[in-house]
Amino acid sequence: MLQNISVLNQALDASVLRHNAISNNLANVDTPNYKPQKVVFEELLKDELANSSFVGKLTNSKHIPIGNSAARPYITEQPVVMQNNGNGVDVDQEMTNLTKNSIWYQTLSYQLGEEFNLLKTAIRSR
Amino acid sequence: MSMFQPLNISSSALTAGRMKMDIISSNIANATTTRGKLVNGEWIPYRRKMVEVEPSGTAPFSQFLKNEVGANGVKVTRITEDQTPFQPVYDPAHPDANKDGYVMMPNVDITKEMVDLMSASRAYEANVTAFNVGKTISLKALDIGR
Repeated sequence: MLQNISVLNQALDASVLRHNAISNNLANVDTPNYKPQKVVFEELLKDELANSSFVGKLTNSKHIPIGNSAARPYITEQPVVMQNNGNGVDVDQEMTNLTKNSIWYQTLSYQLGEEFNLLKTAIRSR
Repeated sequence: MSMFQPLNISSSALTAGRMKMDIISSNIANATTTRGKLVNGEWIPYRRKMVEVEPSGTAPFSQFLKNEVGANGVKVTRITEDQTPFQPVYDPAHPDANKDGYVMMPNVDITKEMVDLMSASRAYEANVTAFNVGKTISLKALDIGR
C-alpha cells in the first residue's frame, strides 16, 4: 500500500522533471547547436520493480546500489539534428510529449488520490 | 499498443508534414535560383526537391507471420530531386546565359508548389484534429468510474 504511494510519488517527480525538460526544449527551439533533452525513468522503474526481491546492502556511501534502490530519473541529450543551425528540437514531437506527459501526470495524480482514499476508508473503518 | 499510440502516430505525421512544408518552401524560395550546384566548374540550376514518405516501423517478416501489421505512423525516408528538364528562358543579359542567350531556370512550377503547400497544410490540420481527438479520448478515460 505505502509502497504504491512511494512509487507513484517517484513517477510524479519524474513527470515534473520531464515537463521541465520539454519546456526547456521548446524554449530553445531556435538556439543553434542545441540538443533536445529527454528524461529516462519508466524503463528504470520497471527494472527496479521486476528485481525488487534481491537487494544489496549499502554500508558505505560509495557502494554501487544493487536491486531495490530508489530509481532516479535522469536527463540525457539526444544527438539529433533537425535544422541547418545544428538545432535538434522537433516542435511537433515536443508538443506531443507535452500532451502525453500532461495526461500521464493527471493519470498518476488520480491514482495517488485513490490510494489515499483507500487509506482514509481503512482508517475510518466505514 | 501503448496508451499513447494514437498520439505517437499523429505526431509522426505532424513531423513528416512539417518536413514536406519545409521542402515546398525551399522549392518556392529557389524558384529562380540559376546557381544551385557547381558541377565540373559549371553552375547547374536548382532542382525541385520532393519528399518520400513510408509507413514507419515497416513490419518485419515475423509480424506478417503473426498477422500483426499494426499502425505505426509515417516517416520521411529520403528527399529526392525531380529529374524533369530545366526551363530555358531567353535572357541574353543574364550572367548565366549560354552563348545562344538562353538561361536554364529551375524545374520548379510555382502553381504546383502552391497546390502541394495547400494540401500539406490541410493534411497537417487534419493530423492536429486527430491528435486532439486522441487527447480527449485519453482524458475521458480518466473519468471512467468517477
